[in-house]
Amino acid sequence: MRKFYPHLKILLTVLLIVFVISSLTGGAISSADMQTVAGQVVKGTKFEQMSPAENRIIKRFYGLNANDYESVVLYAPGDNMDVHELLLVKLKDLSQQKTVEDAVGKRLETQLNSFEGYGAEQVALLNKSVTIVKGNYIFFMVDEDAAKAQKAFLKSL
Amino acid sequence: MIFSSVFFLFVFLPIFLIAYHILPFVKVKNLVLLVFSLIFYAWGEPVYVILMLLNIAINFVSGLELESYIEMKQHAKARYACIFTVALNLLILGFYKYYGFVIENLNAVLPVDIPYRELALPIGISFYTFQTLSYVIDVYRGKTRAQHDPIAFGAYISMFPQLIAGPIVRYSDIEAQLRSRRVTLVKFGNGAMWFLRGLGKKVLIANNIGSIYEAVMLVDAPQRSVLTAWVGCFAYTMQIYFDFSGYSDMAIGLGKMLGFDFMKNFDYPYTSKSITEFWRRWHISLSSWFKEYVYIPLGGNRGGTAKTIRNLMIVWALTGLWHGAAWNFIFWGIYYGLIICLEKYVFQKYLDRLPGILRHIYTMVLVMIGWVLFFSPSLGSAMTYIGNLFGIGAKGLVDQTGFYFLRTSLVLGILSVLASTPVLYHRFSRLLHSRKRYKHVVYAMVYVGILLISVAYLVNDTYNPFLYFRF
Repeated sequence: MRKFYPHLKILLTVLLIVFVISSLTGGAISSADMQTVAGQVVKGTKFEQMSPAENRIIKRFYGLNANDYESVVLYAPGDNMDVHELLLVKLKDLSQQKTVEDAVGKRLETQLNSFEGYGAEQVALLNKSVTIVKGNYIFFMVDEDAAKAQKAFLKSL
Repeated sequence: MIFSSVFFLFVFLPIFLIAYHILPFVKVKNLVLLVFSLIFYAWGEPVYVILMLLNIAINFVSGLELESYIEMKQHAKARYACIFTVALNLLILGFYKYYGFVIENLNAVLPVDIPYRELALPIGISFYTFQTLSYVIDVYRGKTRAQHDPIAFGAYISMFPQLIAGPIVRYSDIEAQLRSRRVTLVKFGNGAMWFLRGLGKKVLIANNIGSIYEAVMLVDAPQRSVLTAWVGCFAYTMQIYFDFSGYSDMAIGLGKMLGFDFMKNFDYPYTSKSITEFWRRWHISLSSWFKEYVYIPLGGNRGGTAKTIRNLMIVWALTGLWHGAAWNFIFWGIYYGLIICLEKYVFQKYLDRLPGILRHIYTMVLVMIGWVLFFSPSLGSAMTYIGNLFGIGAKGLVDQTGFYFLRTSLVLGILSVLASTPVLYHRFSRLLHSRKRYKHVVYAMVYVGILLISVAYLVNDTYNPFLYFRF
């Protein structure tokens, strides 16, 4: 048996290398900076004229600490009856994906619960919301121009 | 899955404990431990269980190979086999942890943009890689015999109580316990008390004081007064201690409930009177690992002052790097390396002459500044925050926001300071050794109280990750 140990070790090492290489098929990391991405996304939308929300609003709406991420940009609804919003998150590492996805899901659910029964327009818009997870970037938008912005987002990465 | 979750406390742990204790023989118990540990790990990382199984298999075979070379006195072959396995373990750790960091930095200095895919960090990889390294090196050194039972070896590497955030258990410390261990009712009860203390530290103190730190971090740097900055820094200082030591206590407690004895990982570090002493009390299993496997092999303090300083700086840069693939962690390590060198060769004689309280203040101020490097997302923001602590770029000395944070954190802050010293615990322990008749009732009430209040918190807020998971 002893003489097989080196061979067995090599075989296991090869399997390990195969596993490691296969794990490289995950999401691509974009080095694009948030300013460029956000600029491209908001171009031609109503958010272009707006200022991004402060970190405390991000915390209030999504429960996320902006400082935990590479960069977070939120264009929040203008008033209580407005549902238009745009969230862009650049993650520090991919392990943060799930937290942000959960936060977006929770935000959408809260908004739907708030408007269900009396805000038909808002509910319709919320149901058309777009969420995209692309490597280290996450995009969430509730807007009539979401499809256009989505294309700009993917192109900018 | 984390210890401080309702699912773990009321589903996973009871099922595991019943299976573990009703089945006879240590070998069967090891199998139960291995299976449940893999389920525990797979809960959050289903894919990376494969990585762990391959890791276990490679290191198990390597141990046998090394032992056979040593027995046949083929020392050169043993040496190469050891180097190969150590390098392989380090490459895997390096790949998952530092690959993105290296490419990112290359992209920053080179005129080309190398595309890369960042990988999710397998939870606990830094901890279990250090355990496998200790095993391989100890077998090579002849300090321990290779493990011939793959189940026992698998249970050692994947053991869920300390798998994802330590303490780092060296194989030589646990070898005998993998073969034979006993759980008495007293030991089980003692373990349950360790576990509940850890749960209380995490859920009742760390999570609550952590919310103050998070609130402070929402204040943008130019709006932060000196007072706000210090309250935030203090809150994080307490959060990380109670979070990490709470996890270690839970791990030690679970270990005792299974019949194991793990080393103590924290010894009231915030009572230290020098940075050197602080690091003898903080994350003891990591410090002793680096001492045993890096510092001493490099020559330790045997080659004169220059070599000792070099060795210390290597160890501390690696300690920083171990904590994370970012420049602020490396600087954090170098920061401690420099202070420890200065204490060793310059300060210590002066420090010894100072009153205890001043030495304590000196230590805590440096530790808190160190935590700024640790919690900041980048080196630049760390420098901005440190500047705020000393009034540079801050919004004045004190302001309304700062007072608000101070007021809201005052009671919890005082409690956490008291709980970070041995005072409360020693007073409480004295009761157990007293002759008072009601002592067991008081003990039971306190621990059941910790459990009930912690569960109440957990039901309301189930997301409470441990800070050390990302390492």
